[in-house]
Amino acid sequence: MSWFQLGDNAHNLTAAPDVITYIGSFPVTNTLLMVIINMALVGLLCVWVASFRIIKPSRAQLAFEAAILYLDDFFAKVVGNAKLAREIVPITGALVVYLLLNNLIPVLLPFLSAFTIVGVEGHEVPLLRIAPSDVNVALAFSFGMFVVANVYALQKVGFIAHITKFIQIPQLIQSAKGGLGSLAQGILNFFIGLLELISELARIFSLCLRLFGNIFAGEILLMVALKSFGIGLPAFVLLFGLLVGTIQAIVFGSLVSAKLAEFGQTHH
Amino acid sequence: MDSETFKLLAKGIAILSMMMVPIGTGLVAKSVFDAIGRNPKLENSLFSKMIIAIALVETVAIFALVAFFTI
Repeated sequence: MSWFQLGDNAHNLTAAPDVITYIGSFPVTNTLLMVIINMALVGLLCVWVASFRIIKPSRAQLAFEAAILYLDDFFAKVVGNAKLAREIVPITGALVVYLLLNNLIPVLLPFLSAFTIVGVEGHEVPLLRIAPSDVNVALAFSFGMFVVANVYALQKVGFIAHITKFIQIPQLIQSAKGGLGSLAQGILNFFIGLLELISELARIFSLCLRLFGNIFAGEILLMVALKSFGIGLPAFVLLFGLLVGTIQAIVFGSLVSAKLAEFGQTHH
Repeated sequence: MDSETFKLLAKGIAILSMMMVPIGTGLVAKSVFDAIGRNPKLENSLFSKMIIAIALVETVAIFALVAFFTI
């Protein structure tokens, strides 16, 4: 090992997060600490936004409002319909901002894993770790968005109209009146509706694993880069990880907003 | 052949599914470049859509990586 390589006592990276302490019998992991810190940062952002003035805005306020208008525009383009996008932007915009902040923190605080603490198993673990590099956090995001999408659909369209998108019994009965060909079409649509139900569940896992896999792969790349050449290379790997994390945050936001728009469409 | 060998072989076969990902990315990029060549004003509009499409294509590679690390 030369002087510019991390030695063998570097943190070995596992997919499971490292448990720091136990509160009662609840394991507190380092990603949980990171999630709490992120929430505190978003809370500070909200406090700052609440102090915006309408009459004489400051420049930072104008810049922030321009960024929010850009986000609004982006979701309007993804959804296609500006009025529907207005309803969707609060939740998906918040999600995108939160995920972007998650990815920005390890670049803003580059000595993130220098703070170590002696964990539960006895060896040293890093105190903070990027939040979506834990499957639980990514699954929480994606499952939460699933719940939000269904509650939004139930609220906007109604229980019957939402369920009959998947279990298409009224359409089946209606197509039976049209003759044999239309009945075959109706049966096919019924099975397609059931498949859509399964694909909804698969979509939860696909969103979760996409986010988790990208961030985790970025961390592994960073560890490999640190172990091989610790001077100039990790900066580029950090930057690449930031780019990938930003793109994944945008992709997550657009997929969730497309699904919300599809559920919220009161088409006739 | 014991179970360790089979596990390593399974890891290798799981990673093989990453073979087609660069071809998929190249197809997306090819069609975007063709469209920009025909109509250069679409460049700004197509760029962000291309990024999202490439991220969706790379999802399969990420699934293979996750499977690699959990076998």
